[in-house]
Amino acid sequence: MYLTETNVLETTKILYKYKLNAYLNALSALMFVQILALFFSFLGVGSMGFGSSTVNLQVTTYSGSMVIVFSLMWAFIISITMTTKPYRNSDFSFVTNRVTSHLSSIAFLITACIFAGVTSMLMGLLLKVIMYFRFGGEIIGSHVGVTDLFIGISGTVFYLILLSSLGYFVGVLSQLHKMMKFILPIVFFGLLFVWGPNAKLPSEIVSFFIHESSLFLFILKVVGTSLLFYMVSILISNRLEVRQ
Amino acid sequence: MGAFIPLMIILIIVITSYTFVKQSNSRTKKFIYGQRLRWMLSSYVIVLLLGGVTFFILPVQDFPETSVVSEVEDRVTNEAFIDNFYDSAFEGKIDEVDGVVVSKHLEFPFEEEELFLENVTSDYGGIMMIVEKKEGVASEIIATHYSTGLYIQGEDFTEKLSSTEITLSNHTLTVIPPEQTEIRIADFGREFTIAQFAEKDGSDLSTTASLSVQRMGHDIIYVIVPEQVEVTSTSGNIHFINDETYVD
Repeated sequence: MYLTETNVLETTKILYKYKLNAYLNALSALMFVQILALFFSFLGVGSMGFGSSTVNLQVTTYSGSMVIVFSLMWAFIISITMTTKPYRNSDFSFVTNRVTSHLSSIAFLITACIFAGVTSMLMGLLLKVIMYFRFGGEIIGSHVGVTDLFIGISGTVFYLILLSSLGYFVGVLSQLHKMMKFILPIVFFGLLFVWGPNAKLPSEIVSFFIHESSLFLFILKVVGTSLLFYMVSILISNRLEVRQ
Repeated sequence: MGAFIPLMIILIIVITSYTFVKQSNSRTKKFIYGQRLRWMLSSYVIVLLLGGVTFFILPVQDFPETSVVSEVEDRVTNEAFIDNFYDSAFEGKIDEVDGVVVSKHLEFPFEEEELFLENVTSDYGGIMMIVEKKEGVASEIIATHYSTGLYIQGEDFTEKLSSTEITLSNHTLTVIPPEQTEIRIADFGREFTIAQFAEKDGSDLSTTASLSVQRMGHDIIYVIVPEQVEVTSTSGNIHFINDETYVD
């Protein structure tokens, strides 16, 4: 029993190291996506205009929120991609099984999410530095302190992990059958259409996370949900035949 | 067209992510892979870190917290302050109002017996003139432009406002209101992952900025003339304090 567990850990570790090197391009995709988001952020995430007889005031809001949203989409897509056939098959170059393959992929995704969380927040700061010099110091709004930065990084990382686990789950589901690639989007958009814009269930699910003001409770919620998604993904995947 | 932009963005992200990752799996294509990729990512992280360090050394005083609304701003955006601004002006005590801004102060030598006032109205409206005949003032016209200033979220933008043009020639004091000043400022919002967990801001920018502007466009040209001078005008928006000799 002990030896088996050690092997699982060691194999996972070897696979994780392999994936860190082999899938580095996932991070270059992130880099591209974040730079794209930076350019979109130059337009501002919101603006207001006020006028009187003597002044016309235009206030444009800048924040790194768009970079975070783009990174969330990246995390979702990358996680789906990790479950595709070429990726699964590349693991079989090593002495491995489905569990170690999944564990190493999940470890890689979590590492990538931490990287993405830190770079997203730093990109937000870079955006503000650029805007500071562009507006010649005519700035109002919040100065992000070091504590705020750490809160932001933690929040972003766990949002990324949440989206990543969801993407991984969707990816594994779509591997069950060829038709799932068509059925899943149809079911998703179909439900959105049937529920309508004022549907209670989806808004309650989203609210469960976005209205949580305690970072500790938010992390607990994300860890619980992500564990559930990853475990179900591993269980579903175990039902697939080897090298399907 | 606007509705398609989010779809296009999602499409770009999907294609980018998929293409980049697909290439790392390809054994034939080595596009931005290996050492070059590591170098690129390292440079990216270094640039971001430098950006982060620069952000924290930016002068904080140019960069006030949203929740920090200065005492002066709090007072001058108060409705009671605006009422007091006008009431005091009509009582001849505008210079005693705490927080009022003197945008311009001019003293013209004047030896004539008659003064004609011309208050020009621009596309954006005119400016109120209050004229006081004062004892003890001899041989000069004193014109002062008082305003309530512009403060937004603790930041003082009063200096950005253009002042009124005041000239005196051939017995005529002419007041030309300023052109509308365009002010563009950046509001640094908190990322939603900070705003969700950090303490809430004390004030809402849209409300305070709107209030500041609404309560900001208050200007008065206060003119002090010698007691013996006869003042005439055909312009509107001119008010006199205790003057029965005024000829409209």
